Amino acid sequence: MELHVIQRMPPSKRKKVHRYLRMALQLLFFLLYPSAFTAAFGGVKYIFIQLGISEEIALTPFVAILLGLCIYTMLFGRFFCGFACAFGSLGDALHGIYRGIGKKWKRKIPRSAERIPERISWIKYLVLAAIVLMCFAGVYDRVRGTSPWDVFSMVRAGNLKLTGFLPGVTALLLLMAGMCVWERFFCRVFCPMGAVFSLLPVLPIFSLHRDRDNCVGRCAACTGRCPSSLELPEEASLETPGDCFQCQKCIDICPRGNIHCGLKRLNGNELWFTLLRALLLAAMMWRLGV
Amino acid sequence: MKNFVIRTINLLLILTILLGYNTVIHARAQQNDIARLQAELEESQDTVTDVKTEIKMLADSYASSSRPTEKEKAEDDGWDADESGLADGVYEGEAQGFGGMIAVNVSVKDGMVERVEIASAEGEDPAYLEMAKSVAGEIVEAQSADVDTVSGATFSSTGIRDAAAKALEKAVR
Repeated sequence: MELHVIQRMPPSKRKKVHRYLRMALQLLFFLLYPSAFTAAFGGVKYIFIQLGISEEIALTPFVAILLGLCIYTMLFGRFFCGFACAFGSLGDALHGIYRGIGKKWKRKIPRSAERIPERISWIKYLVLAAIVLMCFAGVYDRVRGTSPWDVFSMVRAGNLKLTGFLPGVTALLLLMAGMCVWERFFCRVFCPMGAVFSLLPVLPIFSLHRDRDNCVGRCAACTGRCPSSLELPEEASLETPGDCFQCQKCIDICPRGNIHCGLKRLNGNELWFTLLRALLLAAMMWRLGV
Repeated sequence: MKNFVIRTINLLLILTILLGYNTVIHARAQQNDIARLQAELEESQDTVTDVKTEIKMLADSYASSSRPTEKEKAEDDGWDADESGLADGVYEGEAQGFGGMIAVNVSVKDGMVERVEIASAEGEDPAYLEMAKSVAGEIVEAQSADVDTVSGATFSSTGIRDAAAKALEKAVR
């Protein structure tokens, strides 16, 4: 398909193209680089273990991957979370299937329940703090069997020897159930790597802003579609919301085209821009040995 | 605005602290190494002195009798490199890693474990395999497969270690 043909398509069709592109990229990263998030977080754990035993922090492959992803995130925001994280993609797939089934059976989660993840999104900082403290104290080995990530990685690699991992399996199943019901449930509420990313300063050039002056009354379509229910910052702001995964749903749905990057000429959902960011990320991961 | 500035300052602070920490630890490790090497040097010098004394004793005993006694022959064997009980050669071993079997080749020379090479590890993620490889060096240093695994790359390093252990079993005389 020619690019200019796509740009002139009606918004509804363009939305679909964007959606399918994102799904395709998520699938690609899932197949090619599925262990990126565990490797990067392995770097976090390693740093605190070394601090705890007063040893040097060497530039291990895990630390290199962590640095790479953090630098990338400081430039492009949490694009990694939205497009390349295998666990996030799993969540999106589950949620998509659940909604698809829900549509057929005409069921939806009640409105009040929808706000729950928002209110408890601070838990991921707690998870991060608990894990790094245990690493620092040198006792993280004792809770090895509780990580749903480890279980997910093992199952994905075809390793089904899960004895001793019962807590992890239980946690994984519960999280998967949560991800069905609420979009990006794990990412918003429990992900310690996501907690690290949301603590980083993000350059405003590529992060999304909203021109509120031009909004239609009490529209809030963007916030409604947003997996994290964000209210994007104003145009001139330096801020970036910690939970924006750059999924582009807000840009696609705004009836006035009010949403764009800090760099005004970029909307943030241009096909070439998405592909460029995905390519850069993939190249970096390949180079770092993910 | 405020948030962004705070985060940037925090990040710079954390990076500075970590770099400073690393420098201090590195300097301390170097000092420890220097102290340890000095101690080893002193020990070696003591050994040299002991050896010289023994040689003189042996030379004296040869001068006074034409053949070495049984006792002195037994002392001689203390220098034999065959003591470790490993036969020279290259041995293969296989064990389960994270996503599949890991095959290693262990080279034994002069009765000592010379090298542990990874022949194949197709089921492992590159970053994890890279981390796990350090266990190969540990096995050579310890001259045995009874070493700790690498935390963070537990499955991969366990696979390498167990494969090396199986290979070494074949090398025992």
